[in-house]
Amino acid sequence: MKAAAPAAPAIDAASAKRALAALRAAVGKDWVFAGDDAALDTYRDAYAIAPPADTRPWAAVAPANLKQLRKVLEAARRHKLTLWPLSTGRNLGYGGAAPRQAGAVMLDLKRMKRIIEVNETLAYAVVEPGVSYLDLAARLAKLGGRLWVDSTASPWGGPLGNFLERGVGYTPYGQHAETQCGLEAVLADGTVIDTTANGHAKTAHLYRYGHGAWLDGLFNQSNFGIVTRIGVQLMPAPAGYRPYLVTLAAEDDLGALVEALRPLGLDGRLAGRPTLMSLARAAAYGVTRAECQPGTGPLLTDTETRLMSEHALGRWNLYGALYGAEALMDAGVGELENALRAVPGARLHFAATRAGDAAFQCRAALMGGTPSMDEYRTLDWVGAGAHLDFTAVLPFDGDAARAASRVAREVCHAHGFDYCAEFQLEARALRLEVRVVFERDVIARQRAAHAALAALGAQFASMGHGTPRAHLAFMDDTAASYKWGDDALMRSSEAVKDVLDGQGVLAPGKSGLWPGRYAHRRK
Amino acid sequence: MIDRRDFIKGALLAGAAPRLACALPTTRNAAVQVVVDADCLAARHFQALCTQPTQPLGAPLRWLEQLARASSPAAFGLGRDSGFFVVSQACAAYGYRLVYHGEHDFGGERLRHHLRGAHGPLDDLAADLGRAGAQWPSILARAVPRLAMTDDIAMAASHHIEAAHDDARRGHLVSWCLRRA
Repeated sequence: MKAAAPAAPAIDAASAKRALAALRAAVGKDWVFAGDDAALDTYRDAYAIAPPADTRPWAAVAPANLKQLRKVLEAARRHKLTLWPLSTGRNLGYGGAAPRQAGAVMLDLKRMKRIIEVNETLAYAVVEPGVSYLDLAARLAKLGGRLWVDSTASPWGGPLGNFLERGVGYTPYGQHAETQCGLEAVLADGTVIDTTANGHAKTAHLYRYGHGAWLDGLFNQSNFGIVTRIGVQLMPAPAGYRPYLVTLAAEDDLGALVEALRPLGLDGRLAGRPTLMSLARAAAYGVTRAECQPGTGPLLTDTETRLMSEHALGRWNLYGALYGAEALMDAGVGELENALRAVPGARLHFAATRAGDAAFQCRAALMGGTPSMDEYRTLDWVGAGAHLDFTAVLPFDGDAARAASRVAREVCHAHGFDYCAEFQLEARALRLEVRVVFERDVIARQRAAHAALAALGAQFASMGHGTPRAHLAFMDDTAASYKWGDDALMRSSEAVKDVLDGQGVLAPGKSGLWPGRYAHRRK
Repeated sequence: MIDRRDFIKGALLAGAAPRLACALPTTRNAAVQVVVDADCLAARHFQALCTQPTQPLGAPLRWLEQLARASSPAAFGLGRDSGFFVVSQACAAYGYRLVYHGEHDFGGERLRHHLRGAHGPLDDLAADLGRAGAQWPSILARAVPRLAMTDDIAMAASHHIEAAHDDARRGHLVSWCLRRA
């Protein structure tokens, strides 16, 4: 059976034919997908909450290198195409591989998958967009495992795309915006820039700054250019590694734990990037909802109590790790135990007692520099599961954590979902990721999940919390929540867009930023 | 030189799928690769299809790598939905399309199967499962070669089968077959 006819771009048939010919000339006929090619079906959100036809691309093009990429850009400019760049396309929960609008040409960069350099002495790698965490981990393992990769819980994605989408990992190198060092990007007019300002600088991937304005952030979550390579600083394998779990007996312990950990976070004694998971989120690694409680509706108190008892989980569960020499880790345990004395229901566990704990095993792998995809098992919670993610950032403060958690829980329950959430602990801030897990083939649940995400966005915006990542469907709304000062931030971004990509070739609507030719979408 | 079929390959390989640990490295029938979740009690019924049925594969996504390199035109699996999701997403890039999907709910007093696929093999499977009771995994295993033969991605046939079944264990498994276009 042939795939459904794709939406056409806003150009006539003859122009479209010429445009495709130009793309084929740029990359070769095998690497342009168009018409009824079923390959176009892979450029959709696997967790689509809108009919796939709404975002089906018109074509896809896959350059193998920078030279071909610049030819694609030239063709796009000449034929008035819009390109939607894609690294590995695994941004599941935020829209996956789909573009914002139907009719786009997917600029698929998976063929640009060179690990250009691994420097074991100075601990960094230089990668292209198509390199996944799995690829990088395999290369590092082959070199002897002296360096760790900091992977997300979705390691078929890659370091470049994850950095661009403000993703995080779980080792001490888990803040990916801070471990990126050195960046090459191509602007819409074909100009290639290296943000260290000198492509031959010996410190390009060691020291983040060149001379003058620092532009790396300009390309993060934006549509100002196409990032074609980045440097990624890597963690040397530590002398020792000791993952731990802190379980909390009661909801009220949440605020107390956050307060107790803040001093450790501020002065660097809270190693790595610990993750504090709600009961349902942690339990979902090992059991399904149907095994816990029949029917719909939030988990009952009895069910939660039984889950905690049978799986030795807490109302909240902090997954963290200590790194370094034994004596250093022993000291870290002492610090942690001291801090936990202020938290009545806290209990500290180590690997020896968590052998059959699927959540602990997965988190221990990720915190230990080993990619794991076992987090996907949590989607079995509802059978054929999918997820939409909402992320907010709030102060490292017990009251803020409690209040945010209460609101998020109420929104989830009001829309018929369990409260699957995690706080990711930074030094001064908490990233709250609320995961709305739903039955992906049930339209009513897709809609409810969509409504839940909208409600979360509205609630957290009204509480004054920022949103560092947004799902494709909510990018405009999220951007609108940053409209302080007569929308000066967006107006400034639009001004930059108009200069760097006046024709609006690159990713229209990315992060709510529309080019001038989409003036009707600008607010 | 990378060919079109191998497109996207690198981003998908060499890692970890959700506990596809009992993925079976080679199958007796070269026409179909079989993967069964290690945690699934029904897995033993599929051992006859495999040459090394008890050998765990280690890093789970390696199975995908194997699939990609194998010349097998079809892949069959039984396990949790998350495993199916990961495999189907990854395999789509290699041109594999879903030609059969089954859901199997058991526990309490009822056993339910919901099957989708091509008429013919699916109709026969439905009839057999209607009589199978607790032996359903065995029936399903026997049906694998026929299910894997079809290349009809329309999956126009659908069957709901429900039977009395006394089993204290509660669970939900999915079976699936992907075939290279």
